[in-house]
Amino acid sequence: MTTISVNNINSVFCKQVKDILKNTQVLVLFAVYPVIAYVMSTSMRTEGIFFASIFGTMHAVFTPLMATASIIAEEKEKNTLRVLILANVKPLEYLLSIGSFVFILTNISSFLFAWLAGFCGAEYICFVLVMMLGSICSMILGAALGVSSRNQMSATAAAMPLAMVFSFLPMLASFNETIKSVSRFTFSQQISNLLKSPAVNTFTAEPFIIIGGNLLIIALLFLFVFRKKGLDG
Amino acid sequence: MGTAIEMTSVSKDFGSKSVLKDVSLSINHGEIFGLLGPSGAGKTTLLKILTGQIPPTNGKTYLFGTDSQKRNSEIFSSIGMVLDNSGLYPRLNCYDNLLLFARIFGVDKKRIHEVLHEVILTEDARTSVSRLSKGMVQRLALARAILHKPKLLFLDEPTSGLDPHTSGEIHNLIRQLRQEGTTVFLTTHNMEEAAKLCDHVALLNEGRIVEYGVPEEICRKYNSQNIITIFYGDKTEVTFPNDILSAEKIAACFKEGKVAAIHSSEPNLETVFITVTGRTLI
Repeated sequence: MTTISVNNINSVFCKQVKDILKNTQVLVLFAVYPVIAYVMSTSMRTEGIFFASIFGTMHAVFTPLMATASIIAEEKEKNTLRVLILANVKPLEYLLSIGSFVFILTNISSFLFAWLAGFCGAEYICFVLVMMLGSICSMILGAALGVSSRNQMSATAAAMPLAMVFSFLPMLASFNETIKSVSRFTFSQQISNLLKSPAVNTFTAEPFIIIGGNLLIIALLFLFVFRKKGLDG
Repeated sequence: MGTAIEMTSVSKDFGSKSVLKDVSLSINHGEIFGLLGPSGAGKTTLLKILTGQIPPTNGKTYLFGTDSQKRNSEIFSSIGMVLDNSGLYPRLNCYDNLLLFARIFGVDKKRIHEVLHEVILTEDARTSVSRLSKGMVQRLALARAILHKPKLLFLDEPTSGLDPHTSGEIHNLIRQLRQEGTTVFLTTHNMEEAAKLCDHVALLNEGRIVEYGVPEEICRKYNSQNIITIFYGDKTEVTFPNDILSAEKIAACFKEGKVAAIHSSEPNLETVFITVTGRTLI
């Protein structure tokens, strides 16, 4: 039976916190959408929910995907991941520590987006939970890309178009019916819809079924890539 | 003394290419063992098999009597490694790089300062790895490998690309580790380094061990000329057969007081390698 070491997860997590403070490239990634949303909603006389849902979706979809792919691929490229594995850090422990790091860093901003939207109480919590759900889908997709890439550059090259498509699809769908009919099957569109009205009494099963289906496909893709390539392969 | 590493009939194929062919070796506790061979001979592949990074196609490898493919925490805590690529975090400083592994291995933080002192990096503890010289990076990688006081240390080309002074510092550290009882398994294509450092060496060529033994004994074995040459100060030289009968004649030469140097005809490991394989070490 595989035992998980909380100490190993915590050690890699602490390392990642120190590393991110010196990695402006990734640090900017986490700040860009919250900053844009804040500037836009404070400078323009539009309802906060408009920008919060648009940039919140982009943040929850784009940022974890890019960050996870970039972090894993960089560790593979620099051989640091192999050294960790050889120090008895299990692949699952590594993925959990990187995953929890990206998840926390992404969702710290969720509270800002919910505040910008002017939500409070149950809506506030639902908004944050929906963003968390979106970031989990995106993170697993990013992990699959990071594991499958040889280096950071190839990971970024693969992740960028995918992240752009998923994060911009909801916005493009609002202008085009054909795109809308396709994008309704993506998790990002459903996350965007849920963020616009995050009230439990208005939720239907459909978005969660679609998100669940997306999550399943992404998880299977990750498992396929992980089994084929391994973490230090 | 006991065996630290045991491998029996190890072979490794990558597709149709056979990288290792029937390699069997036994390495004792507390010795420095050198696996020598040119680039592409299969040294790193063997090291990866030993450390459980890749499985062998055939054969078995054991570390302290345990199958090295069954990677368990006991094996991990008893080995340290310096890979061909340092595997250090470039944005983190020396101390933080070591702190990560101190936490993973459950080592006291005091030990970080100890190893930094051992590798002469105390003053650079707060310097980012990206700002260190290649020699300093290599010393830091060694510090990380010995942080948890492993019983067995794997070093893959530890002095590759380093200047003689830095290489000398690394050699001193390796010798010091041996004195402390650590078994060292190093791969290198530097025969001089191996002759200086290793208790035993194996010459690997195209995936096969072509020679094994104590460096001096291997050199003596291939001493086909077996002569001693005496060089005089006036640049003349005299040669004698390397046997007991020449002892008095050689002593007489010394009594003359004009001897500038005396050389035996034993080849160095590099010459032995070329003799055995017909190829150079580059």
